[in-house]
Amino acid sequence: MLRLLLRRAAHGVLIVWLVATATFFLLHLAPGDPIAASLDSPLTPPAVRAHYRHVYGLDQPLSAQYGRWLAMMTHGDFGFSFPHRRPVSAVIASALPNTLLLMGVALVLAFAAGIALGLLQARHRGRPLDWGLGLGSLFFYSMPDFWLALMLLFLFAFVWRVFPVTGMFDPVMYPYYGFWQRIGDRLWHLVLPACTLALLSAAAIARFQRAALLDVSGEDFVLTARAKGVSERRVLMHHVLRNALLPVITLFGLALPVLLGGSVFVEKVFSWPGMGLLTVEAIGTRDYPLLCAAVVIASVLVIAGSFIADALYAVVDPRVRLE
Amino acid sequence: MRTPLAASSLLPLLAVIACQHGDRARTQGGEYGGTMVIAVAGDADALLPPITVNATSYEVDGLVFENLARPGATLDPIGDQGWTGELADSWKWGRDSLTIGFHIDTAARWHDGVPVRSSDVKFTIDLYKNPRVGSYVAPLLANIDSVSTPDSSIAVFWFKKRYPGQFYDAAYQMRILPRHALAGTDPAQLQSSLFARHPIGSGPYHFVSWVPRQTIELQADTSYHRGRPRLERLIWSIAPEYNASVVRMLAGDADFLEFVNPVDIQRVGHAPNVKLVPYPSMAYGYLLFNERDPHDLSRPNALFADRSLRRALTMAIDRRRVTKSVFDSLGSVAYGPYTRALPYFDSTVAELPFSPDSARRVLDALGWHIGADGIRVKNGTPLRFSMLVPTSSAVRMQTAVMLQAMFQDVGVKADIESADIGTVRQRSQSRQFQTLIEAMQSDGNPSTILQNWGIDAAKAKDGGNAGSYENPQFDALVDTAIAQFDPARAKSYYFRAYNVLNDDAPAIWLWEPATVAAVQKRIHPVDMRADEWFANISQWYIPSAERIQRDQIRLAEAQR
Repeated sequence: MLRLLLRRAAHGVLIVWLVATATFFLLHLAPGDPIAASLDSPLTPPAVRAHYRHVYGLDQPLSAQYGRWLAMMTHGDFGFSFPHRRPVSAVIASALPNTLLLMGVALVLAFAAGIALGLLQARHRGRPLDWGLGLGSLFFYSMPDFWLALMLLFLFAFVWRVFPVTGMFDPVMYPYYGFWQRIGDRLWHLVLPACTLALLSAAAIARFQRAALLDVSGEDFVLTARAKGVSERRVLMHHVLRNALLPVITLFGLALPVLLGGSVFVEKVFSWPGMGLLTVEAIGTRDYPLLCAAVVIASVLVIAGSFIADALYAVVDPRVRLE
Repeated sequence: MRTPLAASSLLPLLAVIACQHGDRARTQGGEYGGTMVIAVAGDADALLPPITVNATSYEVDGLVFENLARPGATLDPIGDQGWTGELADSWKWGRDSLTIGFHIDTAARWHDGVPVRSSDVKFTIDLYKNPRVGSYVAPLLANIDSVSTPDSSIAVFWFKKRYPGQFYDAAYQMRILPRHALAGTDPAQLQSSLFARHPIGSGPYHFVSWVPRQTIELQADTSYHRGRPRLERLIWSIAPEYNASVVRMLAGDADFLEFVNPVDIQRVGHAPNVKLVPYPSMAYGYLLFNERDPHDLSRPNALFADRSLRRALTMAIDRRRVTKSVFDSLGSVAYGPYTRALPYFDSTVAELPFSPDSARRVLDALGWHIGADGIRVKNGTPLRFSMLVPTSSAVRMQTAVMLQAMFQDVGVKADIESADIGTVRQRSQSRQFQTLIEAMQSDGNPSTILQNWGIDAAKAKDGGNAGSYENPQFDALVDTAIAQFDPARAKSYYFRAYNVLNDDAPAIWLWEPATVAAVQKRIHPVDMRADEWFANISQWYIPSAERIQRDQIRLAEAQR
């Protein structure tokens, strides 16, 4: 078991390095640089651009820039973001917790809702409720994330004015709120972006969960339990569901990249100041250090998700441990 | 999909805008208080005037810091006519006109309570000019030799030569910084200094907080030496998605949106809580010809180095139709690289007419004859080029489609080449394009025209003259205009230079969009200046009868 996890960790480090290196070179091969993008006015004297290119080493050969960047990365230094005029680590420190909060809440909501819906469909298999929920989950599953975000924004923030339009807190009142009011305000602003992400993932999870439950329902041990007179509810919850969770655990690892990708659009639509929005902005400003750092962090998160899924799989399935 | 607005449908709306704007003249009263939430698309980079480059930083800096003096509504950069004091309450020219002495208002205080001194002015110019700071303003201060401080309230600017823009450079190019707060900071580290995120200024508003990528809050300085601002709090609320900002305006969550896209004018204008306020524009758009070969900049462009070809292509374009289609009644045809808001705007400049027949005749005469596929050919080479457009600009994309059709009409094949804005900027700076649809924000100072169209800017690597247009006559006329102390004479030379420019057709001047801001009706803007919409925000107010919950936070609470 330990060897398996160590091997996966070593693979993870290698993948992160490969992704970071590919990102570094691809970004530098693309036209433009952070100085050209930020000091974009034709009225900016060329000498000023040259000054900043020199300060940030952008006038050096690409190999020298890569060597310097790699050396800094190994020391945990992501460099300096010219468009933000701050160290990249400080920029990320203000954005990453926001994305983790959004993704964490969305992940919990998505799995809770997805498993519950799958269970409900499996229990009412072939009945109108199963069809209705199946149709509903297919609807959300096939919906583009940005469109769902815009629709929720339009309906709940503009037409009915139930939730705030954008941001993480009320820009006016927040500084004057007490502790609990602040928590409430944050949660209130979290509802729409988290629900957008959760709805998209929950639809997929529900479909997987339903299929897994139906597969397990036909197994011998389920028939045995039923033959022994165990109640249908107990059979479903204790025998079928526990065994049908295995494929869903795999989904957990896959859900992280999906959520990360989705957060790019959702954060933009709701102006949620997280990593997704930061990455989009960094692409526009050719903020190399920030983009590389964002890609490294995203790849670490994805690998961590996969790693956790493997570990959980090993915990719940003794066969994996034995292998 | 965007659809052009019908002119007739906009007329009543514009009448309403005009009526709403008429409330400028209302009695301002003496009411203080209220909160204004300003919806902006991007966060500030740093709140330090010498190095800040983005719009949000510029706005915040403009209210936290002060210039020595401010221009009048005409933005005239020659001499000091129409200028009023800001940090300086008076000034005096030296007999030889090589010095200007500014008297600092003795009531002026930094927001930490320290009096503003002349030594702060000297410190500021030294900082701006320090090459380790990397200020983009530094080259504009090249004619200022030094600043001396005969006493604590007088700063004397010494100039290397006498020129009409002396006062403009001294009074307006720099925002004065506190020496006591910055003297210990390494100039090379200024951008990442604590001050750049917690600035101390002397302006009408003092800094309260900055939550990166979310909000920036300023509060009125009740002891401001030029009188307490009326609005108590200003909050920049950052939402990168433009549509979200519009929804926030309509929902009442935001109070001010600097620019409403033409397609949203009707929707926003019909909202019961929002009024549209037009104000003078500094923006204009054009199709720029690259007169150098993008593959080898030492060689002239095979097409656009030919002045006659550029003129023919210009005559093929119906600029009025383009402007009408893209902006409806909210745009005007551009006459040159300047806008109607500027004192040196010339509506009498000679323009090349829209005449497809003339364009065809010139192209025929140049040897470009219609080929089998309807595209003109010369020596086996088709008359074909690309128009580089940023994908993020719907206006420029729409313009490109119209230009493409008009070029096609005279047998010219123009391909639309769209790229993200970063790529467009880089290719513009490195001159890797055939033609480029550019949108520019003009500068109040007409002499900066040389930075876009002058020979030096064409020859410099990375220079602002991306099309590499060169005409010594144009440069000479602008240089002569710059040297004139009489505004009327300066104007006549600038106008002659504009005529030379139009005659050479280095670009096709397309449109000048009207700028329309959205403001909540309870806020009464007094005036909006073309170069800085916020310049007179200290006089904006919210009558107490119209205040809402967010206006009720009192100063004492805000200071808690």
